Amino acid sequence: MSIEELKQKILEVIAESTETDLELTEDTTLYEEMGLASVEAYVLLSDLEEEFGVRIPASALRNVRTTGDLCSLVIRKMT
Amino acid sequence: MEVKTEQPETMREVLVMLESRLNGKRVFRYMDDSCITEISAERFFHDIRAAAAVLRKGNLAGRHIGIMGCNSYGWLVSLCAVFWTESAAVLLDREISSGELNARLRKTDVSGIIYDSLAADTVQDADVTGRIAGISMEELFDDEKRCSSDRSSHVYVSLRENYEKQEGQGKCTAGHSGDSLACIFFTSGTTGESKAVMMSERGLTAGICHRINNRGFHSLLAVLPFHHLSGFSSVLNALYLGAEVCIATDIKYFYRYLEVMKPDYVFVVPSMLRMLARKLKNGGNNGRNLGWDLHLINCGGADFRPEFLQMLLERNITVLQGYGASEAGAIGFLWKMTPERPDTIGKPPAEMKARIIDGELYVKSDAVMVGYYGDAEETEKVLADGWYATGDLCRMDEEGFFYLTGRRKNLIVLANGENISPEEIERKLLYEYDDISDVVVCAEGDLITAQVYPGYPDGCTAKEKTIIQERIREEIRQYNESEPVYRQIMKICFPEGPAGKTSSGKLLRRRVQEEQKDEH
Repeated sequence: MSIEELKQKILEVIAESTETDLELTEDTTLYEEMGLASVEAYVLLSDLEEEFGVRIPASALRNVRTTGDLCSLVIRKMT
Repeated sequence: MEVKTEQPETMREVLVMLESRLNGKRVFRYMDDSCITEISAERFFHDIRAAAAVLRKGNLAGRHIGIMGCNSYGWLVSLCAVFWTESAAVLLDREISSGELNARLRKTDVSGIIYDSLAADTVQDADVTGRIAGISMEELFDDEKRCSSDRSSHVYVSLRENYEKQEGQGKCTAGHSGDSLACIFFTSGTTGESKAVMMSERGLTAGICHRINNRGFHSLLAVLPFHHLSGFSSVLNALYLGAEVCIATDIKYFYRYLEVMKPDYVFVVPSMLRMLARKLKNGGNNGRNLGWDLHLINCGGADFRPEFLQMLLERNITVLQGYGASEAGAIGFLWKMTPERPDTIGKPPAEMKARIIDGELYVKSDAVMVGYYGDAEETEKVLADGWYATGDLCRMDEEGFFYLTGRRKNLIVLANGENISPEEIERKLLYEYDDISDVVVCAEGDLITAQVYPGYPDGCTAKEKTIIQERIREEIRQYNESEPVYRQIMKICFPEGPAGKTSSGKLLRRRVQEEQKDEH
C-alpha cells in the first residue's frame, strides 16, 4: 500500500469511528471543525490501533491538530 | 476485633469496616491488553498493608504524600495505604507539567510522592527527589524490586515478612481524628492559579459512606480520573455499597471495557455520555447488541444535555444527573432523569442542605471541604458557617426542584467535566510571552479560544503586525504542547483595537465575549 493509499485508509477509519458527516481532508481539524471532545479523540486512537496494529499513547495527541497530523502519527508508528 | 457499625470518623476506620464487610468478595477487575485481572478483598487489603509498611519505613506516615499516575489498581492501593497510615493524600493530575508539579508539591508541603511509570519523567524533571522521597508505584507493588533496590533517594524496603506485626488492625493513633486532614486535591482557581482543596477525615468518610445512589448496581466502570474527588470517591462508595469496581486504566479502551467486563453502571461526564448515546442508538436494550450490559448511567461534572434521555430510557437504561462541586465534597445532587423534567438537577439528598441566596446556590453537608490549603482569604470568600458558595446561579420551582441558570464565576466548565480557569491561562500567556499585551480566554462550545491583543510597537506596519501575529501563533503552539488537550487553545483571534477595560485596568471579559459571539 502506498503512503497516499494508507492516508486514505486512515481517513476512512477516522470518519467511521467518529461518525462525522464532514468530507475529511488532511487539513480537517479534529476539535474545531469535527467538534470532537478530547475523550472522543482518545477512543479514536484505539480504533486506529486495532485497524493498523500499532500502539499509540494518549499523550501523542498533544501535538495533533488535524486528521493529517493523525495520519502522520499512525504512519510513523507503522514504520 | 471491634468493628464499628456507625458512621466511621476516619478513612482508616472506613477501610477496617470495608475489610470486614467485603471478606470473600471480588472487589476489582481490570484489563491488561485482553487479559482480565481479578482482585479479591483479601488481596486488596493485604496490598494496602504492604504499601503502608513501605510508607512507614520511609518515615512518611502522618505526612503529606503525593500520588501521581493514571487510573490503576496500584493508584487505589497507594491512596488507601496513605489513609491507612493516617497521612494526608495529595492528589496530582498526571498531565500537569514538571514546573506545575514542583509548585503544587511545595504549596502543599509534600514529603513524599508515589508515581507510576507514565508520571516518572514529569517527577524526575520536577527536580524534587533531593527534597522529598520518591516511590515508584510499580516497585511499591513488586516484592522483588522492593527488597533489592538501594537507590538512596528512594524508599524501598523489605517488608513481606514483617508487615503484619507493624500494620495490624490498630485504631487511630493518638491525636488523629475526624478533624484531621485526609486529602488535598486541586481545583481550577478564579484568581490565576489552582487552589488546593482540603478534605478532613470526617468529610471524606461522609462522602463515601452514604447510600444516595440506591439503585442497587453490581459493577461500576471507573473511568473518571482518580485524582478528582468524584473519581476516587465513587470507587470507594461502590465498595461501601457492596459492588465491585472495573478499573478503566486507559480511557482509549472505553468501549472495550464495556464489552469485555460488562459493568452495569458507569459514571461519566457529558462528552462520554454523547459517545455512549451514539453507540447505543443501534445497540439494543442495555447495549446488548454491542456486547454490553449497561443499566445505569450517572452523568455529572458539567451541564447535562438531555437530548439523549428518551433514547436511553427506551434502551432500558436509567440516567442519573449528578451535580456537585469539588469543594462541596462527595455529596451532591443525584437525580433520576425523566422526560417530564429533563433540565433539573433535582432535589438535594437528605445528607445535604441547599439554599439560594441572591440567585447563587449554596450547599452544606458533612462532606464540604475544610478550606483551601494555605489560603484563608480565598476560603473566606466561598465558605461561611459550613455553607459553600458554589458560584452557580440557580432557581427553584414551586415543587422544590433546582435548575442551574448560569455561573457567577468566570470558570469554563467543559463537557469532559474539567473546569478551566480563563485567568490561569491568561496569566501564563502574559507571563511567558512578551508579544502579548492583553489576552482574553473564553470558550466557544467546548473549544478554548483566545482573543489576543499584541503589543504592537508605535508605527507598526501591516506587514510587521502579521509577523508579530505569526510569532504569537507559534508561541501559543508551544504553550499547547505543554498542556493536556482539553486545556489547549484551539482558536486564536486578533481583534482590532485595544482590549476593553475598566477604569482600574480590569479586562471587560463579558464585552470581549459578546464581541466574539457577534462575529459568529
